Amino acid sequence: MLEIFDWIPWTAPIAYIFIGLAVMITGLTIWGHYRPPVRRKGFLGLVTDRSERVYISIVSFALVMVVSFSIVDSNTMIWALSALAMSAGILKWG
Amino acid sequence: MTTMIETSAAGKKISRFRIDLRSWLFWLIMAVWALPVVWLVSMSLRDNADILSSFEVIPSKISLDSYAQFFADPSWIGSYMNSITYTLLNTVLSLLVALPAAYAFSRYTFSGDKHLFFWLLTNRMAPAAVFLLPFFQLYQAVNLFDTALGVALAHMLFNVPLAVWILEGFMSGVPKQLDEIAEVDGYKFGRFFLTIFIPMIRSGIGVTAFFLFMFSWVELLIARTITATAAKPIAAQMTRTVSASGLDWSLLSAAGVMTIIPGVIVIWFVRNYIAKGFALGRV
Amino acid sequence: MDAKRKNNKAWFLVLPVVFVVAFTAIIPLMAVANYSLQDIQGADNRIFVGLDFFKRVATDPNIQDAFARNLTLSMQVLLIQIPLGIFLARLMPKSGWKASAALVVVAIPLIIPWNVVGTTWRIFTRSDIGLGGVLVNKFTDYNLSESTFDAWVTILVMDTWHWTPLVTLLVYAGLRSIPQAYYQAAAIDGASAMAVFRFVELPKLKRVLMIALLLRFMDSFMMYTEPFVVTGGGPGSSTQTLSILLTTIAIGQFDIGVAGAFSLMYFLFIQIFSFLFFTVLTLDERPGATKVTPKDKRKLREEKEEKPVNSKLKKVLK
Repeated sequence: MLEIFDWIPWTAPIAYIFIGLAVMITGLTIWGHYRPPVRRKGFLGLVTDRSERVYISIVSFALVMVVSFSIVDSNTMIWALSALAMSAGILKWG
Repeated sequence: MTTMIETSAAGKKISRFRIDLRSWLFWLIMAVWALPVVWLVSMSLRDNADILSSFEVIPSKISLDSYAQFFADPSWIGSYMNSITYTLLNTVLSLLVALPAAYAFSRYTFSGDKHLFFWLLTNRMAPAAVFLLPFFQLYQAVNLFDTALGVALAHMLFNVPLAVWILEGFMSGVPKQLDEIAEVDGYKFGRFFLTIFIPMIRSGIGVTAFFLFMFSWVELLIARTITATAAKPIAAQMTRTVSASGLDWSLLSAAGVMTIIPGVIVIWFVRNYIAKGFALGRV
Repeated sequence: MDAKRKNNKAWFLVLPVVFVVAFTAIIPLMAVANYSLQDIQGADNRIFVGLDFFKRVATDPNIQDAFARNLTLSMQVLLIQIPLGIFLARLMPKSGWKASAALVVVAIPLIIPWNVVGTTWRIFTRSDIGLGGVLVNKFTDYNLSESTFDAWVTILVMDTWHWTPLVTLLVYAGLRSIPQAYYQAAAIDGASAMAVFRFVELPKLKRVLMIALLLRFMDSFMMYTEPFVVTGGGPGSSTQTLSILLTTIAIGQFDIGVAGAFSLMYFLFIQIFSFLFFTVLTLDERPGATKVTPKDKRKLREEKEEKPVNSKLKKVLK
């Protein structure tokens, strides 16, 4: 079973990210089972439920980071923090 | 009253004339559309020396040598059979895993069903180029490199999602009351699924099988990357010949015609479902 | 339609699919993510470089050019194929054996293996043995391996030939679902052909056209095989799509780290378009998106009203 994963040249950050994603998806599924999510319309103009907002916020975080990479000498930390703030905003009011 | 009938008759005449004009225009466009393929067929029916020595719109000498060569040369007919093997394998495997899943999606709601359905779609849309390097290493790690099963598994990346989506579309067309009646009549789920439900959607399964076969058949990039010699697909054989010097245009065309034939044979039976298949069962 | 039953045992039915797709999609994605963070020289010689490869990919002029080029190609593909597809669909015979024959003839380019589409056009456009190449050369100088313009136009024409049938078939399916009564009503009103299209057909085709638009955009955004066979991405890099460039970096140069970072960014864009696609497809299944049921409205109102009450309560408590 493990040889399926063994050939990958693992690094710690990626391992944490994937474990984090797995935990998050499991958590959302269990949470959704006991407290069914309410669909609502936020400032995005889309009717979304909880996990869809999580997805949108992750994707937009990544998108902002890609844009920041394309700017020469951009400060990754500052961009990451502002992207994080934006994602939090989407989670709350999206 | 009479004037009305007259005008409507005249209107009919005019509209029929216009429809005729439109249909003529349509077939004219289709004739132009067919030219590249017609040209491919015509190239395959002439031998290479003839092609290179004179330009003829209508071939003066017909020769089937290229087809004979195609069937005689193990690297051609062999790779053709390789392609058929992994495509059929892929079709069967994809249907086997997709049928129960599509049933679940069409009949029940369960935690995370929508998200799972979406996740499947993203895999149908993912560019093959992204997966090349890891596939190359993964299939070597699990000893499936250069095997028909390996290619079949790799193509399940986009074919399983496709199958689930299309089958779900067909299954949702079967009223749910059927399941309930069967349950009341004391059918166990397995027996109901195999002896009643599957026969009911057999045309849908046929259409799905066609699309699975086709999308696996037309794919080149992944199939080429995870094979070397033993399971080399016909598509790779064709592109490798292209990069070699001294091209045999006639043989290449014959191989091209041979790869078009399987699809053309089946297409008549699925003609009303082609749009449905490409739109993932949503039209 | 009666509602679906809630049943979490259905998970057992989808489990095989989850396993298979996890094996073919998630494990490779894990590998790609790991490639992107390190410079791999050999099995035991790996240097962690953080986000350097991402920055390199995002600022690489070749990759930026390929991105812009591919975007231009996709836009042109949409601008040509969507109107042409609608036009052809409206010409198609609507009933009888002619309709069946037309369906088959239109669909044939779609079932030709992608590399054979390339081979067909490579032969067809050659200026010595190809019908198309010879014909065009009678009017103007045409050389696909030297002129960037000729190569670009050839790719565009080939893709139009290959994929317009898809748009046609989708639109045709949409047209057939319009009840005849709509047309009769329009005829009684004396509507012109243009008006019929604008006010009867177009509204009904909206969904089908969105599907066609997104499918065509995504497929042309990952196009590889056809241009690879016809031009190999040349002359120079004038017809090099994103997929061709990525394959060159990954398999040709074996530049694993750059390819990994590139792949992840590429994947991100596809995620965004897939989400759009999914939203369009399920629009009518989303409560509140097209029509709000009274129950939903009440829920929403309750949610909105809860907050002020809470804050008032807090004030009182303070």
